[in-house]
Amino acid sequence: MQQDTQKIVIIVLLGTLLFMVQGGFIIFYLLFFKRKQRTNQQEQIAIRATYEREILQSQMEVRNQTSQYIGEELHDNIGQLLTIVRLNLGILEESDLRDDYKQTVKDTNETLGTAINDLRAISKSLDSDSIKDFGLQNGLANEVLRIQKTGKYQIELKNNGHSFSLGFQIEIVLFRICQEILNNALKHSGASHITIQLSYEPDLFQLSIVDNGKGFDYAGIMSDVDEKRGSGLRNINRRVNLLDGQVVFRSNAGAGTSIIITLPISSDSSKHGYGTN
Amino acid sequence: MVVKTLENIFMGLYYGSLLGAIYCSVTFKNNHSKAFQKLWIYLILTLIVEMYTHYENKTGGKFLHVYVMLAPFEYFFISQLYLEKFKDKFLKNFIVFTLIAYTILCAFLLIDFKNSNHYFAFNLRGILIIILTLIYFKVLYQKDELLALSNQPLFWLSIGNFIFWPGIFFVMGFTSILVNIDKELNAKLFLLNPLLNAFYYGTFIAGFLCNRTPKK
Repeated sequence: MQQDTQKIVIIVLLGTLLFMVQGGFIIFYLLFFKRKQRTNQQEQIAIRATYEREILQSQMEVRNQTSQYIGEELHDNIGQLLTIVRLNLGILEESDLRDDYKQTVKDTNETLGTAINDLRAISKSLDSDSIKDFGLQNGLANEVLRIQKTGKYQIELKNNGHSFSLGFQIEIVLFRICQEILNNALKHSGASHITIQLSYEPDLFQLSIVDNGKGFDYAGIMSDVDEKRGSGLRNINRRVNLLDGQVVFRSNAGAGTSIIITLPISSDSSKHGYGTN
Repeated sequence: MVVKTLENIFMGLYYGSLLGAIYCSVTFKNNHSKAFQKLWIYLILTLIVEMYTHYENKTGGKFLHVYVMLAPFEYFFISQLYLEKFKDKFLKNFIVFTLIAYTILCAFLLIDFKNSNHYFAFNLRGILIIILTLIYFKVLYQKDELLALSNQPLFWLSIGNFIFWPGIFFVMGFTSILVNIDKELNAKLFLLNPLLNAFYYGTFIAGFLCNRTPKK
């Protein structure tokens, strides 16, 4: 009888143990599975981010190379041809021409001179070597000069703090973003006054561009179903993200636009100083 | 008396879940893979066998050979689900080999039924299905893609296999010991059988409800 009771106890114990092991296995399996899935998810996000980063980098490299090529062609080829034309016009101006013809040649020569200067300025702004050699600040100063020369806009470049190089890769991206923003401001906003401000802090760099144009509805454009609308803004966003920075667009219809780009500075970025302002 | 009432309730649950599984296997057939689509045949075969054996049991007839006849079909339909999922050639060959060997074994058992142990067919099938289930869990765990487990029909069925087969080993094994010791306790322990079956076919229902197209 006692043996039978022992057998029953063993059966009950074994049964309980079996169901506990089964339940435990399933619970642990689910926990480990969830953990593995989380790791997989993180890996996939990292792969996607790297992929997007590489795509964007290649796009920017292609864009830079194209700009560089066009800039060089304008400067070395068309610029040289126009210079020769100008020299010939100079010779013609010195020759025995009728006075009225001479005046026309002189006027043409002057116009051509302006065209050559504009061409050089454009070529300079397309050429990324100027950023490599002289930095973002000088590149932007040239842009400001180019726009000032048109006489249509008031534009100023302000500088806060002790400037330093952010590195060519970062500066060229910022320079191209800045060119795009300025181009938009001149083309679409109807702004008459633009301020560019560079702020250098030990652990932060900030670039802000403020205009007094007609502004735009940022939220409306970004939520538009038509992806073509706002593609420029999205592109700026992506490029700033690539630099691990942040961009803030503040704009209201009729109240101008301010775009602020903030980048964190790693310790080795501030090694190459350009000097104080 | 209480045991009898509970037995009737649990048997009702079992048949209810089996009928539910048949309904779902027909209704949501098109949302699933080929191997899943064929499961309705297996479920109907099971229902026929269960009804027949239930009747024979009541009237004192012999019915155990019917289970041995059903066994290869059961293993065929369940192993097809795993065969479809496994990419590894070795695993596929393993399933095909065990299926052929198991069918031959069952045929031998049926030919010489009087002198053979029919529980062997039952036990071997259970062990093979548990092995396939564990391999499936491993394969699922090693996948690099993102998966929602609750949307994997075979995951639900594997949970059913993993709980049902060891559980049924335990019940069948110990009831054969207990029957000579304590008949009342034996009857109580045997109550787990329809409960386990109800859970098993419940996981079929859960599996079939995965990926179902919402009603318009």
